[in-house]
Amino acid sequence: MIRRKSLLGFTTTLGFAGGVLAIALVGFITGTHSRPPRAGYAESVQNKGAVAAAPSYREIPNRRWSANAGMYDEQVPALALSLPSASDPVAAPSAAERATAIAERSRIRAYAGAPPTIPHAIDERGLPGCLSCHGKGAVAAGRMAPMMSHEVMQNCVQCHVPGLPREGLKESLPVENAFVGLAPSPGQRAWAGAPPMMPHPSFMRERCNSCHGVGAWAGLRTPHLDRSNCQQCHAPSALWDQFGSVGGPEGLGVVP
Amino acid sequence: MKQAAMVAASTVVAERAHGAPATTARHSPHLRVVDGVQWDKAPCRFCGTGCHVQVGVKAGKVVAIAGDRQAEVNKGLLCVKGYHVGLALYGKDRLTQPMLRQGDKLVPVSWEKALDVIADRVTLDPKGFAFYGSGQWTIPEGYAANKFMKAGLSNNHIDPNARLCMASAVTGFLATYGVDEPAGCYDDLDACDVILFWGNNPAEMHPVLFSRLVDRRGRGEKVRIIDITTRHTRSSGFADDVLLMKPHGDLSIANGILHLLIKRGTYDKDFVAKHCAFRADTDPGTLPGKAITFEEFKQQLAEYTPEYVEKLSGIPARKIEELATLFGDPKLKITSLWCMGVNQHTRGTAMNTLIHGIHLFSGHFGTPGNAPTSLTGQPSACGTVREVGTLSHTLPGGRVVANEKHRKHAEDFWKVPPGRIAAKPGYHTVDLWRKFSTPKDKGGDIHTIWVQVTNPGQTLPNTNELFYPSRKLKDKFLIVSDVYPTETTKHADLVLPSAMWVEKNGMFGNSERRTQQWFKMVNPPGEARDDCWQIIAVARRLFDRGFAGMKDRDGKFLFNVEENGKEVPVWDFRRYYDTNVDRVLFEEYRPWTRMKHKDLAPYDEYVKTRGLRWPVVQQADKSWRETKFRFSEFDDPYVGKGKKIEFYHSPTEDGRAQVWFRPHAPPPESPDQDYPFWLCTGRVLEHWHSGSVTMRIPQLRRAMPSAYVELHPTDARALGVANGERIRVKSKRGDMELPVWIGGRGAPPPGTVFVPFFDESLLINRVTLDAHDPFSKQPDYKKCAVRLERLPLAVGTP
Repeated sequence: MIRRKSLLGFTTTLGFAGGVLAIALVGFITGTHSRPPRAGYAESVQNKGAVAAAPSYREIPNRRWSANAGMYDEQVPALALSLPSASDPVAAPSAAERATAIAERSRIRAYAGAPPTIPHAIDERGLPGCLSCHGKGAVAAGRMAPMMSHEVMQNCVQCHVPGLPREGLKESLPVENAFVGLAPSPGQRAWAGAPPMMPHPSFMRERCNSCHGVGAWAGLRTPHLDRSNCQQCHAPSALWDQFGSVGGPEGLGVVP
Repeated sequence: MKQAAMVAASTVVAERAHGAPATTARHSPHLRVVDGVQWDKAPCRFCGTGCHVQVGVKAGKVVAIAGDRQAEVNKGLLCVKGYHVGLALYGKDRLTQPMLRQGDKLVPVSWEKALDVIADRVTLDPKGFAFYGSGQWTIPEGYAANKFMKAGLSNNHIDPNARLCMASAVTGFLATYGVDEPAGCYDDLDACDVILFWGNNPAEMHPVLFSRLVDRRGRGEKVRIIDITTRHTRSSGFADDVLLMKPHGDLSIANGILHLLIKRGTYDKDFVAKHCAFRADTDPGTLPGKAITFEEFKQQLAEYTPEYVEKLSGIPARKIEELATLFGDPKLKITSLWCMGVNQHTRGTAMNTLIHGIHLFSGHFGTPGNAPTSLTGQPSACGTVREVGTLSHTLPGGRVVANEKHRKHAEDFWKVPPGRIAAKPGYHTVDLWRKFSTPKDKGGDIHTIWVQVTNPGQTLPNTNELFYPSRKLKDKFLIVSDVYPTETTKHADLVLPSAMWVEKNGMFGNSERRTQQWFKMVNPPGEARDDCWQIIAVARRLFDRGFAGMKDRDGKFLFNVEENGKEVPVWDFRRYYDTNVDRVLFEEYRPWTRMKHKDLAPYDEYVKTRGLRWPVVQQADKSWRETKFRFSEFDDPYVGKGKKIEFYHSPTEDGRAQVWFRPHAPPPESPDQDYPFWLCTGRVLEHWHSGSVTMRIPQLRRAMPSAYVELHPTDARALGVANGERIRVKSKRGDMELPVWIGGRGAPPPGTVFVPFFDESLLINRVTLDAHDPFSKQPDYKKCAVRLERLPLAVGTP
């Protein structure tokens, strides 16, 4: 247990979440309260051993895009140290690496484009503390927490739900579903050697580094980390991004 | 230039399906084809928010979903249910053929046989045949069912599960404004400074609206969230103030605010003088009540001092003062949201009118950000139930069966002989199922119920009394149309397999008066068929047998569909999609909506848009314009010139809305020595309604695999139970064994437990209460008294 004074001045206990996943650390210590618990909840067992300071939500508007990101200033940069830097050479991925990356991604998605389920335990009740690891991305104990691919939204658990079997709550009936999701496809190239087009929408995937940057699966990493203006060469598709509606009333543009 | 060229080079240019021109409105003009996947628009089939999704279809199957960026409601975002809605179609145990009970088994039969069985049940005694539907009926389906019963069978025994969900919201709107449904819309969420959740947990139940609100904070805007609740929820986690109240304490809180607004003189005197009148209950109570003076209003509120309110509600007096200060500030924009906490309440109508009353009395009404807005839980509770009037006492377009003029309208619209519509309201949901569960010789005059798109075996309250007894009575017959096996189909006599969502054409109406449309994109499995077709096919079977009710004045079939002057035999399923039956029924329904100024646009306008909010009024340039803020001159074309605000359907017919005095009253059942805990039931983010669909979606099922009982650690310790252990939750009516979850998603205060109702293997409605609101007849699922019993360790220990 590390006891420290948090940025917000509350004495907090930062614990290492044993049990669920070795990587856990701060990212999984989600949903925490900066305010003293109110009467009636003082005895809650929920946060015991896993308490960290979160900013009061009242302060969030003044801390742009920073829901919980500033909380673990000491920890996250340390974790990020284990990532290669942009200047490190990265080899073009092999076919095997690419297949692994796609398989691993598909494992936690119902179809290409579905929000991934969460491959670790979360706090169910408090404010989502996802940003502490997924804000900038982190690697620890051989596992990575990718940087989120979209801009910060406050209620992460609205789209991302735990994907591991739950302790205590057992499935009472078998569930079988014949849905076959759309598989990821590689980007099209005008000729061999041309830069590939984006094979997916860019909406909600504004941060290319999330999947193609240093903290991503090797098979999807770009071999030119030092170039940061991705869309200069890799064009998005207006159809993928729903601007290709031919009869829409919004005048969002018509694909020729 | 370069980018455009690359775009064009890399994608297959969208083609219109089947080459049909958009004007026929049979096929979508929005179809895009990207990498061999056809994408088209549809509203999500789950909650009442009304998000639009893009549905990706490949080789006749749904393969992907995306948030629809052109949808105003959700602007491209969805919740986890919406992202996985495509999987809803592919659970392996879809119902694919009609099945008839023989002994204790359900045996496959042909559709022909099934239609004959239903027609036989009708002709046996048309007056004892009932229809039970839902807010998941599409608008055309609900319209067809309503016409089938009220015009075809001269029988008003049709009610939807929405009775259990938002009936008190309806009576609240009617008692206040004389016309149903919210004046404001979701745009208020973008503009308000303060938002109150009255017994509402939108972070889980209306997540996209919740994000629309809280993501404003991420953009640097300030919005103060005040959560008035009986248990700490995910929404509470985001709230600035969590006011944890005693169950049933909400009426006193509202009265406390009104009391202080008067005492401090901070109510909006100008607004009240111009637009409000005061009203109170008669004895016995009636929906219109009686007029009272402002002096009487003031006197009746006199006792609701902050201290007295603290005693009744448990909310500290200073917090009541704070709430009154907020409502007393004309510069603040205040929105209220509520849903089941207020509606599923034996004082539901009263509480609904009080929230409207606070907003009207304080003048927080009618400008963007100032609105009392009730949310709905089903995708078309508003569109199909409230607007089409599929309740036992209503007719389409805000009409009621008890009104002679309204019946005449209905007979003219439906072209049936005078006297065809019965004047007496049918049974409301609780009574309907009670009559069905009562032997005929003891007054149980309902012999058959046809259920569509809902699961009453799981969702009725107190099922031990309302549902199961009928299953032991030989002369009672239960017909169920559904897509998956459920607790209801399990006990049915005849099961009909239905098409769902994008397996059929459809229209929904969401919580903000928005009417939405989609086209069929894939075929239903096996012999599953559209619910609307099922109704028309039974009607035709009756017509062919000479059943007079299925003929109109001219002797034509009641559901006569013509194209270019020629009848299309839509009762033959092979011919059902020869025309667009949805379009035909919707155009027939549209003129009904004018009386209450809920004007709908032509079907083809909805094809072009992601929904339009009514009244949708045609402009001089022939375009159709929706209305965001009803009763406000700046936006609503039906408000008189210079009036600023006009309640043009006022119950007192003078343009005024009614501000009600509604006293606190104790709940029908409270904890006592034998049953010392409050039980609250509800939903969770991942599962929708009875879970019959979401429990078949692996991602949702895994995230929330079973129901549980949430209790406070102090209570758990006293009982000696730990997380995961099973305990028995027992009321006077029934009991259920559930795993304990302490420190879970919600946190009830000591003395209160919460159980979600989505799990068909853990049916908590065997325990709940059927006591209901006197006006809306909506039961209270949110509070009854239970005791908790520890089980012997050998049983159910994890």
